[in-house]
Amino acid sequence: MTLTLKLTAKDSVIDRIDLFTFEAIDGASLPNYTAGAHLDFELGAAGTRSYSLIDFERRAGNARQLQVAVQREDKGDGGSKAMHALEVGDTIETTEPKNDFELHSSEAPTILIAGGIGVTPIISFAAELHARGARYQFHYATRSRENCAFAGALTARFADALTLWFDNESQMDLQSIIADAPSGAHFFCCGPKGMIEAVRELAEAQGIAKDHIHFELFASPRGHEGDKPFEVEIADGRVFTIPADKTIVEVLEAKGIDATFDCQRGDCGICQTKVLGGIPDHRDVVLSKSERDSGKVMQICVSRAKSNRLKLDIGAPASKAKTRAAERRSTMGNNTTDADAIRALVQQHQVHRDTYIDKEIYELEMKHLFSNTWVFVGHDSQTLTQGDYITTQIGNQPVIMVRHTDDQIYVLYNRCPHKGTKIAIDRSGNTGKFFRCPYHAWSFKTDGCLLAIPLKKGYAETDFEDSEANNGLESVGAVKNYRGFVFARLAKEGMSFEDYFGDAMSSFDNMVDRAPAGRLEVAGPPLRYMHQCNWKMLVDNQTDTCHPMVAHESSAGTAVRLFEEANWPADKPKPMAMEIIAPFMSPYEFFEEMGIRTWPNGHGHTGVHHSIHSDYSQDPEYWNALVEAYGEEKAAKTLGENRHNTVYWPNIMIKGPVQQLRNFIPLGPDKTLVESYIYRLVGAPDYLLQRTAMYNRLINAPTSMVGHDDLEMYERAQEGLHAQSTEWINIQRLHTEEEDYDEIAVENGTTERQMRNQMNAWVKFMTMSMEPETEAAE
Amino acid sequence: MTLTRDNIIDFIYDEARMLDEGRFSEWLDLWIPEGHYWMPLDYKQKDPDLVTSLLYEDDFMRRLRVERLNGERTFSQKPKSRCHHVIQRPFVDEFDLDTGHFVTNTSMHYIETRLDEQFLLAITATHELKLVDGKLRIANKRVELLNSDAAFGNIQLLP
Repeated sequence: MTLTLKLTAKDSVIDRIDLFTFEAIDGASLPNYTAGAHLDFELGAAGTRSYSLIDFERRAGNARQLQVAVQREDKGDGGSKAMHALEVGDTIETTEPKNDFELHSSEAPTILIAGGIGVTPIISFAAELHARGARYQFHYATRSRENCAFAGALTARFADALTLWFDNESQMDLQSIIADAPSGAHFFCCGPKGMIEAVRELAEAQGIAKDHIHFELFASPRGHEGDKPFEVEIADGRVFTIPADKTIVEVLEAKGIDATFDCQRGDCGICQTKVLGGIPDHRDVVLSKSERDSGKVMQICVSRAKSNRLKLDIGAPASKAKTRAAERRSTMGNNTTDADAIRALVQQHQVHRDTYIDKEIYELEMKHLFSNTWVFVGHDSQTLTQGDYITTQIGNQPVIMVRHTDDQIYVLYNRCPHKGTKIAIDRSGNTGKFFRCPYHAWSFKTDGCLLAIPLKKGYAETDFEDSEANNGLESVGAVKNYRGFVFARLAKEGMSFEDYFGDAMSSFDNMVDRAPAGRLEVAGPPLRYMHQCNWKMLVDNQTDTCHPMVAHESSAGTAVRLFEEANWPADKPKPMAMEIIAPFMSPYEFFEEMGIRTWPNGHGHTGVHHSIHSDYSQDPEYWNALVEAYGEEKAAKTLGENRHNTVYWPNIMIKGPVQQLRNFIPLGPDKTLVESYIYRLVGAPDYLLQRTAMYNRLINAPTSMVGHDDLEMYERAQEGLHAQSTEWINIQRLHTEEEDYDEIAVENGTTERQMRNQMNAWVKFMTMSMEPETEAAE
Repeated sequence: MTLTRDNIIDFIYDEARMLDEGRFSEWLDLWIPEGHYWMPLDYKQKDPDLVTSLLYEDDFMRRLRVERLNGERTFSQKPKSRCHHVIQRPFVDEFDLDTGHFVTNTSMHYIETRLDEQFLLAITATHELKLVDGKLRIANKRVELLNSDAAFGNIQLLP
């Protein structure tokens, strides 16, 4: 039944809140209703909106007037604006009063808690309880005295029970309100989501029974324009109306039906529910096309109905694919150096946990993997002039990178050939023309050759020339300086740099081509962030595109919300921090469509088509400098490529569009040092470096709100992997039957193919030097 | 009432207590909006802008940080961290009643804990304070860690 009502008065209560008084067109009486009821208003293009009836006079039994109060939401999707546009004398259609928020009828005391405009149903409750002579408290929070609607009227009527709270004077003390409530009390709360969640959590923490906690959410409508109410029938036959501005989950929760849900965005899959009848209107990003088309399941936190009614199998848990029976076997046995045992740790769709937690495997990684691969050492701008050096490590091997008198970069083991003393331990410095060991003053040229030994005659008759010590500081197997980035291979023999990286170097090319001068310079020291987890967890995470919107909701999601609330003027440039953080909250589709490319030997990158860096602002000064250096075509091509993270196996990641390099330095099976470097584009304006520096501290610092949640996940995983549950780590997302990692492939951006590619390379470079010499060597 | 050096010193103590008691939203109100909260990465770092810092946060970032700490889906804060400042009596290096401009220099030991882990940072904090409508406000705060170049795990609260 619809009602046709005439607006007979519209009174301003406070700024943005008006009180609307409606009567029947012909002055007839109106349907009865009880405290807590609402009307659904038909607002044309703005859709249907629900507003609670306010009843100061407790005239619900024979009403000639219906009153609602509406707060104008200038950023809402039009419902409240449509209400405010009504003028006295206008008529409007509504439903009959409906009540999803009934007051209890017991003798028990009542605690009423209202926040902001959520006070409207609470006023009706107070009037009812007051008339009953019942015991109750009425707590009402607003931002300030100026924002407190109906303050005078409420004080006049309910003074004994009423406490007004103002956020800017003294915030509502929910903790005490709930802790000090008389036993057996019922709680009724209406207000913003945060308040309701706080009430629910505090009440549950106090052991208050769920059926004593009642609430109604005043969420801003999230639905689409034109959403209509519909009905949901649950397994026990009860039927509920889902208003246009509420979700199934919200209504079921309010009714005390135990629905399981989490994200309330339609992406986590937890609230998936079987549909027994009716046609769902899918709004989620979880279901596959065939699941959608089947109409047999839906995500009840966002999806709605195309039919008037849905019949849902609520109470029955969503059917989950049975976890593949764990193929438990002791893969390592006694023979830890057997290449076959290494191979047995990696299947295409899963990886044995020993690769992440086992100390012996870690030692084998240091010995084989980090010896056979090309590993990043440093940038040549860190050693600009002859004698400049830095100290670092390749795997667990201490090395010195130094610029020699021939202007070439050398990478030497940081070990005096005499007694083993490290020659240099400061992170960077200039040694002049030679290194001098501080223990016995053996000296070495900056290419490592032995220069002099004090009192050398003591070795004269000792065949010293044949000793290894006479060779000086040993060079690593091979070194390559690629456009300023220095890589080294420890092994004397092995794959060439070109064969090892191949087309993967295109990401470095893009980063360097962004400099008008064609070269980069390191900008300051790196951030150093210690992680109590295996180094491969960090590498895996670089192409894990299904975690940002989950793990980083607390930072990126909050940033987006704060920015929306800030009323930022449209003509003012967005804060740089928002440009950086907000894209982390991009939906799954964004990451699916961005694409992942994998290259042979474990390299790969996210962001083939676009990335979280695509929409950064550029300025004409920079564009002109690039065009002058490279011509318009190449400049456009360079800036058009916005790769997200490129992993160079084994242990670095670069971000071309923000000129960063992160080095995941293994220190133990469960310890990794992450060094995050930034670079200046030589010849480019400073604001690009400003953004790069900001990105580094916002995302990669030990003080970073984003980094905190990543590290939390790695460390939880490092501990969780020890559980005597399955021994396998799943890397199966979008796995196809036959994947050939020697082929370059471009796939859906949420595939875990790059993780599989990495572990394929892991086996390759682990076993490369194990056989056939293994038995002889061990 | 005329402001004294003791008022300045009390302000620094009150701020530390506020942080230790987790009253972060109140702490936000101590700031003038244009102020920056800076934690350099390099010893005696001069430039907050074109090299990396640990923190260099304006009003928006401070609010984001506090909102996140207060939020319900902040996984690295389940359970929450707690912090503790032990501060030495601040030096009042500048005290200008005419312009309402004050600078203090304070040595602190900052301790942060979560679950079974606890760590200590030795800090020198420089506060630039301004008198706004009769109230002291933080115009800028620089927090220098004695070992700013060391590798840290998570530093989650506000030293």
